Amino acid sequence: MDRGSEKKTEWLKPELLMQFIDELRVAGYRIGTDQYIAVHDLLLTLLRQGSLEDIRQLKSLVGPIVCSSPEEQENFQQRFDIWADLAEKQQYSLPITVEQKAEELSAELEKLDRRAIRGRRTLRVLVLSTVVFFFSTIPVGPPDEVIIIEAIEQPNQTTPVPTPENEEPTELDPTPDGFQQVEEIPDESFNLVWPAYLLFSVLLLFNWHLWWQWRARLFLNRLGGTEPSELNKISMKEFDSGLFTSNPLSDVARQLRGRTRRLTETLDVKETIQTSLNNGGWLTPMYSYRKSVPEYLVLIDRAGYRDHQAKLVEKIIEELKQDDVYISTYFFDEDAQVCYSIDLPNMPKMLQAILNRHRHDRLVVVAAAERFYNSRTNQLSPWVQQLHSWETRAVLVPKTLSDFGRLEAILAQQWVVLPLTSLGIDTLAKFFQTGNDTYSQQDIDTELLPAELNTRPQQWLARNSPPVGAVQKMLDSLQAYLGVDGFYWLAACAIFPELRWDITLYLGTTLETEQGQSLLESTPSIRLFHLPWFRFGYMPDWLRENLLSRLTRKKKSFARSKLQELLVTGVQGETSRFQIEIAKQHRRFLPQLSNSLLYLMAKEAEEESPMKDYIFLSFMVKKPKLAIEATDNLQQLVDKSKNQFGFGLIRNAILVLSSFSTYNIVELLTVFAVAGGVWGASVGLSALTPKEFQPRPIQTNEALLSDNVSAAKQRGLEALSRENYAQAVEYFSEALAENKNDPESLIYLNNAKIGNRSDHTVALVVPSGSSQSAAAELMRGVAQAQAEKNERRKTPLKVLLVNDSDDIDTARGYATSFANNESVLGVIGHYSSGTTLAASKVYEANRLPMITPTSTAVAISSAGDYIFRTAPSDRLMAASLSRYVLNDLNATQAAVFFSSENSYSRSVKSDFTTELLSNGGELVAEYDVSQQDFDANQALEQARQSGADVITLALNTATLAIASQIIRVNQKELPVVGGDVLYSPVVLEENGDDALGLTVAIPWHILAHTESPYVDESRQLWGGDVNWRSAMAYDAYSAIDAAADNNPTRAEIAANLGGSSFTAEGATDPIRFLATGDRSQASVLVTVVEGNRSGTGYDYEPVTIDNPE
Amino acid sequence: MSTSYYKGDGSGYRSPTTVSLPVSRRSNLLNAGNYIADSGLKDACNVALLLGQPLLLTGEPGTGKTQFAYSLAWELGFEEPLKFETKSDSAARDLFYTYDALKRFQDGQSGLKASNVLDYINYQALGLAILRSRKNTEIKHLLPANFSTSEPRRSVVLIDEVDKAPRDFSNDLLNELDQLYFRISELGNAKVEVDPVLQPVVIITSNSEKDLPDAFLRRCIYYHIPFPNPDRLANIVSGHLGQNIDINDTFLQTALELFYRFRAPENGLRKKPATAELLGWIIALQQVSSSKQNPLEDPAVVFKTWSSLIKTAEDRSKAKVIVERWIEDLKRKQNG
Repeated sequence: MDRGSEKKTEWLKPELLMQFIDELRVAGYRIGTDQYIAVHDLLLTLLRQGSLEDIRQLKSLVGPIVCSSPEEQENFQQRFDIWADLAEKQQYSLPITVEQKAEELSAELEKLDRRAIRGRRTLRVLVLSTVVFFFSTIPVGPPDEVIIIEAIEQPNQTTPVPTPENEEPTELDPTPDGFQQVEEIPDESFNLVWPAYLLFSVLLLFNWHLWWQWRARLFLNRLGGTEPSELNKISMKEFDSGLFTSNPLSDVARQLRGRTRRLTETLDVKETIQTSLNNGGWLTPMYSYRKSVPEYLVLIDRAGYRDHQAKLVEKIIEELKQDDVYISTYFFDEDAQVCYSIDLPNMPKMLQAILNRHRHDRLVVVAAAERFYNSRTNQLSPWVQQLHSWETRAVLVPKTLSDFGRLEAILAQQWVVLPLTSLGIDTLAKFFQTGNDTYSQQDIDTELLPAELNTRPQQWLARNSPPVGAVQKMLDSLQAYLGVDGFYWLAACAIFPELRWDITLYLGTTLETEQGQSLLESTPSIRLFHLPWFRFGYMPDWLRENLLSRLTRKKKSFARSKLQELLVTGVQGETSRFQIEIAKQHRRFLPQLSNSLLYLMAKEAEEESPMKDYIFLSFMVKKPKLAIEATDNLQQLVDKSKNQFGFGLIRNAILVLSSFSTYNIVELLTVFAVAGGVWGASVGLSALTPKEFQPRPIQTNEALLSDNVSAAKQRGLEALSRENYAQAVEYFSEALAENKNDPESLIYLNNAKIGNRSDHTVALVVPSGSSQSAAAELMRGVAQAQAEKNERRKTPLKVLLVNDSDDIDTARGYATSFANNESVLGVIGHYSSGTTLAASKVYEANRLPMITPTSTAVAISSAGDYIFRTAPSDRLMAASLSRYVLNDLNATQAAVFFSSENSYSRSVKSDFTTELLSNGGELVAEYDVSQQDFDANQALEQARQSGADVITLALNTATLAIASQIIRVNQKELPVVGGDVLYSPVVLEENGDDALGLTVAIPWHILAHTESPYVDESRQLWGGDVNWRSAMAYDAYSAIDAAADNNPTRAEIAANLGGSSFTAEGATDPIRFLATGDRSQASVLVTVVEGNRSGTGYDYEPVTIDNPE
Repeated sequence: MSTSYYKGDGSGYRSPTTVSLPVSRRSNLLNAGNYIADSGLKDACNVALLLGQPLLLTGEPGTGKTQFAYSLAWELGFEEPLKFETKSDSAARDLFYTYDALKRFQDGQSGLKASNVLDYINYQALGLAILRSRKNTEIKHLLPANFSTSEPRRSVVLIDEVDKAPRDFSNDLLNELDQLYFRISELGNAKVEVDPVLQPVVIITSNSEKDLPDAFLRRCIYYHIPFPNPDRLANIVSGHLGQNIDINDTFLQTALELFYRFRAPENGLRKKPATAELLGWIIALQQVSSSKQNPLEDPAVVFKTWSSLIKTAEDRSKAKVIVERWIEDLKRKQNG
């Protein structure tokens, strides 16, 4: 026999093919027994015929048996090729199953366990010999060695922490419980030895951490491949099975499948004869009924992709579908006029189209009763009326029956209203089956959802904490509402920075009540999932801290160990119960491993990753961080006291005292005793906190606007450095007299005028290294505001000028310096959105308020509680534009140009589109200008063909040239609107006549406010017109000035700024902030007209609104 | 020119004799012998025949799903397929027969003589296929008088557009295909069973697999007919038009090029032309300009004939732009 035919027989083994089919089934192909048999039959027949020569012949033969959609048919080709290659080489092996993964994990953990024991032994021997060596060389009796051995063992059982070599210790912290041996050394006579010994043990500990880190890296590389998994991306298996155990859905499915009678068009002979006879022989056709399986249309209210409530419904539907109930599912957000299909999430569909398609289906709407009514008019929303033509329809309200209120009662007059609980779903099935919707409730819970949560959910989602008292009150009633177990679940969900469905379920199934039941079983999950945080998939940090502080120690450590198990198994990409079981067996060293893993992941994770979240990290390493353990009051006390006394010491003392409440006496003593040797351990701890940036030294009294540094200005700066304030005032006044348009000199003059009086500092970050003009514009706003406001202040504000060149690293460095500089109360900056976002992390972590006057990216809205801005965000800008398009241009068919390569452009486009669509407009065409073959001529022609009546340019600065091209090609035929990027002299210069009528949304425009005193004064001050950057910088300064009115601590300034009653007088408009830190103010629309202000022959002028107030 | 059969110019001229019109070559298109299946379809079909399972075909309109059944029946030497057109209220029984109760009732009422029940029964595709598999003598009592019979034989059954019916129809269908017998309640529940040796070959077509139940999909041999690539399309065209066209003809190549432009998603035609429309168009092109070597160089010719490709007013304006740009490209290519 030659080798070729030997090979042939190998792959002809049916098992091999069956394994391939197995693989397909696991990959989600709809494969049942029939197909296995069919494939088997086919193979045997082919073999019998002897017509099979090449394995690849099978491709087009097996494909039709196992595929059942075009996508599968396509995907099958690739899978088959891979399989065939491997099968020919006899290398095919099944994809790794859950069990294999678990085995792999087990082996790896076993190995690690053995190594750890060996390492510990070595460590012990080392310590022992050193100690013996030390005590034999000094004239003191040897200490009790047993104690020392135990002492060194301690870290292995508790929580030592990995330590990177090159990190500087950044703060003193109470240590973890690794050093209990220290206070056991009783005698003063050890004084000489003890520092050396301490140093040695710290070193050892340090090495021990390094060892663990090294092992963790190996562990990661071996199991997780090259990329470490992120917890939130891990797929978890089997954890949702617990959702339905209490009430098997198969029962419900059976009822839902129950056939119903439907009128057909065929004649029922018997009935016809009967009726005809009754009618005196007059033919009266009677049509027959036919029984058919009903189909269902489900519309689900979904606040976002992380909406747990919607996810719960989705899971139920999935389960029912498995049981052959025919369901079509659509999602909507508040208003069902536009829905999204579960299969095509990117294709919005109009409600009417769906209704037409599913006319005969039974309708189920899953939404709170509030959704059915317009909140202002209390009328039924229009989309609800559309649904009223339905014969059989029902609503599932995400509440338990006992929570039903007035609205539900009103709604029940027109709809069948049922609670979204297992009871409700049961009843729903019965209702469809029998038309009867009565049900009885046995156990009635008396606690109601806290009213505050119902009435003002936004308040509890805001990044700024509501008043402490209110929070505590809300949490108390929430605890009563959810019960002990439900609250435990809620609090455990607060650990991880994102509310993920998988993790929520994982915690629900693995955490246990005191009776040993899982939380999922003991709590009605809908109560939890209906809470606003679970709807929006986000929990603000203040809430997380509060929730965590309410957990008992036992519960904390239990939850921690569960997350450690998840972390250790999660590196394999998916987690199943098997793996968790295995991880549990190695509980002994799990904390060490998981902490090292966390460190590695946090280090490699991206900036935005939840792996960098400080609450999560400090919880996992058991770090008694102030943020968690101390209440806000205490924090304020610390902040205040440190201004008056020797701060550091008191701060630490209070820290320790505060940790007293949660840590036992031994630990407390440890904290005191090890105070000196702390840092070895704290290095490890701080390595786990979000990355700290090297503070950047600040050069004060330097000219940042280097263009026009007059001699007088230079002398002024020198005088300022010498703290000769009187002289400085003189020189700067002189400089200003020479050139009044020098805002920097005015700022220094303002600073100098303060002299030796006590003051506070506000930092102003300008991009003078990259744009002198932008820097000057920002300074103009701040200088003017400072001059005005300081006259009225008791404690004046000094402005610290810094240039970050709009560079991310520089910005972070300065941000760290500001944070360390106690006198800086707030920061105005940074310039572009990218820089602002990067620096905002530092401010947020250090609780230093920041207001940016110029960054408009939507992402800044969620940057944190301490981050604000005075310019309207891109979203508000998009809203203004779309309103203008619809209401003033009366255009509805927009063609949008954007650049898919730029995030700003993408976000403007999507915001604009959303606003447009939700207000009745239509997007008829969109063009990606970053495409290679983009052609403005073609695109415009096409846009016109498709009926566009307005062109929207959602472009960024880099694609400004293309914007100009489009404007020129358009030749004023269609109206053109765009974002603030188009507010540029370049646009005026390049396009001339074609730009006329171009309308742009910008934060502010001087001509819209010609009457205002600010404009007047600024013209006098600088001898020219200011632009929006100056106005926004003026506002930013004014906001800080107002917020720092009485008792200026950083925390209070932030609280003031974010408070709902805060308002400050701005340049032309009052300043108010939304809960997101965004300015609550609309953009200004300007349009290009002929004029001579800019010198190009064309100018931007505010759009005159047709309807005067 | 030969295309001007009808002038409509109000000149008052009427042909004294009936004008002889050309015989449409389009009718040839349906000639089952010319159908070219792609290789995947061929294999899928063979698997279905081998395993005796129904073959489910999906694909956009005009890719030849229905035609395939005819081609299959033709090649295997069967009679034309028995076609069942699914309706939105089709029920399982309709697959076998329909009973015209109303007519019988009316006949009865209007005093016609006691009629034979059999006259009101219309056998449908699957029922016919089962009847045909039996010997004449076995089923004599079930047949109306005018039913033509012959030797027992196999049939191809085509169930067209199954996704039109409610979802449980497809499940019922599966059931019936498994059992392949039916009862006629109007004839005292007479049972008709298929001859196991002569089970019909079942081809099911659907526009999309989305609305079909999983169980149904699992039991069928599935093939999605992709839209043909240019080479295959050229083959199809020349296969259908036979001697009239050469595969390497520049005319055919340019026609295909323009055709694919019409289909390109970025050009945004609402209704994309399909193969059948292409064939019609090419015939029209040939007839309009039998003289010219490549009629497509003249946009007027395109505009004259494209009504077989572009069917809505909205698409027409878009298509116009496509044609103009295409001709520009063509000229540029020739010059450069």
